[in-house]
Amino acid sequence: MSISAEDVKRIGELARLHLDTDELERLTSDLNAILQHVDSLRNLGSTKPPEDSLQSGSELQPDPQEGVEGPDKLLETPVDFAPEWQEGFFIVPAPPGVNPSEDL
Amino acid sequence: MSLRNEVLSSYEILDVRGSVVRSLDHIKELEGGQESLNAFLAIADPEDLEPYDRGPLAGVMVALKDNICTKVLPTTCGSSMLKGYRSPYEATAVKRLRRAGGLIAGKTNLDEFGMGSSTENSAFGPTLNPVDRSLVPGGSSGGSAAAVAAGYVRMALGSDTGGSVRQPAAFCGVVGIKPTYGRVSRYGLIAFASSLDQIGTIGATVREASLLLEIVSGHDARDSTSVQKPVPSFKDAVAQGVKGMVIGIPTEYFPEQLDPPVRALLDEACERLIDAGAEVRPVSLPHTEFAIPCYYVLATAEASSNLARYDGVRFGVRVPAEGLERMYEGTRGNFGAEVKRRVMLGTYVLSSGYYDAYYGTAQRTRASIAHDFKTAFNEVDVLFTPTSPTPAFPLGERVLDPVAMYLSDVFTVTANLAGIPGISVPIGAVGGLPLGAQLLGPWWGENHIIAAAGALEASYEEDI
Amino acid sequence: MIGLEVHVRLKTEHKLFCNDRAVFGSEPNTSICPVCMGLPGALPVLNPEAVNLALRTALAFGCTIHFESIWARKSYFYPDLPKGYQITQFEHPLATKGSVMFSGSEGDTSVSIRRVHMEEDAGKLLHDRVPRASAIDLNRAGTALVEIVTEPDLRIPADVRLFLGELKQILEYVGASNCNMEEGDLRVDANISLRRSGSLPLGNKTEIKNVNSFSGVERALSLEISRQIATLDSGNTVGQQTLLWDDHREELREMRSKEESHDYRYFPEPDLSPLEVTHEQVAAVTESLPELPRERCSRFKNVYELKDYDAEVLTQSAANADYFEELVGIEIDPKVAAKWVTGPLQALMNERREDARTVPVRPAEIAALIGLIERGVVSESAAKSVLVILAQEGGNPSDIIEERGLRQERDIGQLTSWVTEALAKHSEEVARYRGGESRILGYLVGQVMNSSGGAADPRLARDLLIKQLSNE
Repeated sequence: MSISAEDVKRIGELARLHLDTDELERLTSDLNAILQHVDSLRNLGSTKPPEDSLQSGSELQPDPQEGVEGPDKLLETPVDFAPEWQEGFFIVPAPPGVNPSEDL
Repeated sequence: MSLRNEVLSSYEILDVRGSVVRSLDHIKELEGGQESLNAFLAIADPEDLEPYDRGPLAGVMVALKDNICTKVLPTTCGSSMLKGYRSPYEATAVKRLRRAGGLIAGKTNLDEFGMGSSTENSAFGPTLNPVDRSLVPGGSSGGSAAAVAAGYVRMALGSDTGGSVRQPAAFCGVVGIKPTYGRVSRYGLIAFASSLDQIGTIGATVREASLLLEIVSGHDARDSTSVQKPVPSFKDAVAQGVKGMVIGIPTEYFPEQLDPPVRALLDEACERLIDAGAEVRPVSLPHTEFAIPCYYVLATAEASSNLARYDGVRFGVRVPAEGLERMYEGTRGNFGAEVKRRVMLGTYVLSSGYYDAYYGTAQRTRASIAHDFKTAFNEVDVLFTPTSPTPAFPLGERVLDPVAMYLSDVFTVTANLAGIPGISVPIGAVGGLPLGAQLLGPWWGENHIIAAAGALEASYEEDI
Repeated sequence: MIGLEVHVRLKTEHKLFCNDRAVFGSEPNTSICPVCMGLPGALPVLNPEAVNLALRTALAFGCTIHFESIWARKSYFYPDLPKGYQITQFEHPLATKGSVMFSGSEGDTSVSIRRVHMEEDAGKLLHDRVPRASAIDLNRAGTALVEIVTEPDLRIPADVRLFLGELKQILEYVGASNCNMEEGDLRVDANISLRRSGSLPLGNKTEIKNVNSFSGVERALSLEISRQIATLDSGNTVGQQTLLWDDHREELREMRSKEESHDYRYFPEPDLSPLEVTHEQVAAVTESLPELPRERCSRFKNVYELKDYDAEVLTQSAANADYFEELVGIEIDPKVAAKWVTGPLQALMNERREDARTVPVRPAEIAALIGLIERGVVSESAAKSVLVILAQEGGNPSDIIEERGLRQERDIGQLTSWVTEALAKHSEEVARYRGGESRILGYLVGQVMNSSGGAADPRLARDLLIKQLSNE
């Protein structure tokens, strides 16, 4: 299966990656080389794996414990690492189609 | 002469501060000068380190791969995206290491976000192989492996998604262990591929790598994929020996193309295991040839999703711009070429219309690969394979050829796909370059592979 | 044909995948942690309370519970979605195939529930906090939601409103959600497609989003149906589209196409194991489910012989119904109890912005008060004041009556003088009464009450009035 430059461009948009012409070309050829390799998977056809094959034995269990050390509370406010922070909010440019108030 | 830190036995009361400060100064000096290996991205300040407690790791300095969250020192993942990022919390593995008395020596270099096999994909320059500076140290935990091989520290934490602890350990002539999936908490390990990632350990010897693994292992309520299984004493397994152990040699891991000197060393290692009392048998793992494509579909799919959070909104670097979409694109332009490649591939295989053909097929393949191992472990206790087809390769040789780079993972990705533990142990040198052999064990069977690796290591040491 | 997707916020103490409190209205970004913020290295851990509430919801609809359901990642970029994906359920939801009966415009109507699944909420993106930019509050990010999807069984906008009312009641009854619309506990998206009667092909589907109230849904749907009929009548076809409802302007506008083209790239969430629910769990939840609103209402009509209206009002909220039944349990006549709960108690609760669980006057006290009325110790109107005093200051009814001199006056001598006074002052009304307008008696009773400052026993007063009026 091969992938066109158009496809690559569309994928770039989905992944919010801006690709200039050089990158687009290189990526298209890189991805095609990789996909060619990956296509060998299809030769496996639809062999169904045996019923009992699980990844890590059958040991993956949800944790029933409650109230045990949960994730860390944030001890400091995000102001320490937030790229832009005002009045207690994370600030971003407005999304397309939205007009935030000019003045308040 | 590199400085060696002695491994302290527990409960010894020693004033170690002086030696720690000297060690850190020495590392700073070497890493700061012409001779720098660029193994460390950040070196600890003695002021930041906790008082030296008693415990199995009392006073021992440990290097941490820079994709493991720490509260002291930044966590950059080798990426411009996280340059200067200070995590507000620390990984569970780090907490356990510190509680055992361990000291963070610094954060080590890696391929960006763990994506790569040579540590050439770091935004902060490659790390050099201490054995031969024109060569790569392997990746993605190249910094950690180099730090141990150079003698800056005797132990380090790395992460292994497709071989990223075992392969650099092999390239640098040290020991590397990837545990069973679910053995070590991933809370605080910055995710690359969630169902494949594990924190692993690198040590100057099998004993040191095993001791560190024992300390960081164990169930963690903060990681739903970590498993409630008791942690046996890994360090005690080191000297267990291999009498009566049945070792499988999978034919698919010994292709024609293996260089004769490499093959000779592997054969010799096998002989040594037999001399030590093991029995050796051929086995087959028929789905091995599909492992690399399978891995690259699943790993990139998960990676494309795990890296979606790097958008400049709440943390990390932001490239300011007019309008949200521009900001996203500008910010995500901070990803390096390899990361972009994988995010693109991952996005593609998950996109509508392609999911079944790629992701669906890969999941089924993965189950088949796991089943191959399950069948094999009915017959044998451990499997013996090369870690990598070749020893370390020159800097710049493969970085522009992604497929060639991916193929160097061919012997290591299967363990991640199946979730089984693996260890790489040095078995000599080819043309002066270290070569590693890999032992793979059944799920939760770290003890067996550690015993086998320990026996091999002891056998070589007796020669000296 | 109208189908609905309803998102309900479960009233769990903690968020779905982390220990932060699921709060409303606090300072922005104060209930967050590495997990719901999507910081690097953080991992989700399932909150079992959410599963329990989701089960209660699904079982209340009679759904089939799937003992294994799968978490999935739904990927898209938006500033209020911290991880760049939402953890939800896609191909294998928690529950499927249920139904809800409600009183529609054409009688009892049933709506099929296609599925119920669990997912986490996003944060809030606000455009009016900072000039020329948008502000993000992640307090809500990671809160537990349940999504309820119906089959396109509904046909009339008014029925949609009525169905939603029933749904809200059920959710409140089983304790799954507070269903507080102002707090955004319940959000509805509607899908509509028209078909000419008699012809087979269904028209394209229109999605309506962003409606905040049940009446809003009804209005939006009515508007859209008219518009579509007009389009079809003029020979055109209706395209597939997504519309946003603007409540202020009462109009629908098209969503920009860029927002629409989402490829969500669903795949199973690798950080969580499949959600497993046991037979025992399901049995336990089923057993613990309360009587549902419709059943309770029927029972009230049959067992307590209440009027339809009273039964409906009483069962509107589980709290009121419980309060009423507690009163009946203390041997108060159901009709009297109904009158008190729907009347004075409700007025008190409205005034104090409380509900039947939080109002400080408990059934035992009302029962005592009713007893005092029946023994003639206090008049009904005085009793209402006692109720208010009880709520404000506590205490017990008898003491309050004594302390405030609210005892009903029953002394015949005193009453007679008041009656005489009233009759003297209102000779015109007396004449009207004698002229046959017997209803004017009520007015006269009122005048006696006024003269007595409310202390007169109105029943005795009435009797005395009648006696005096018929004597002369």
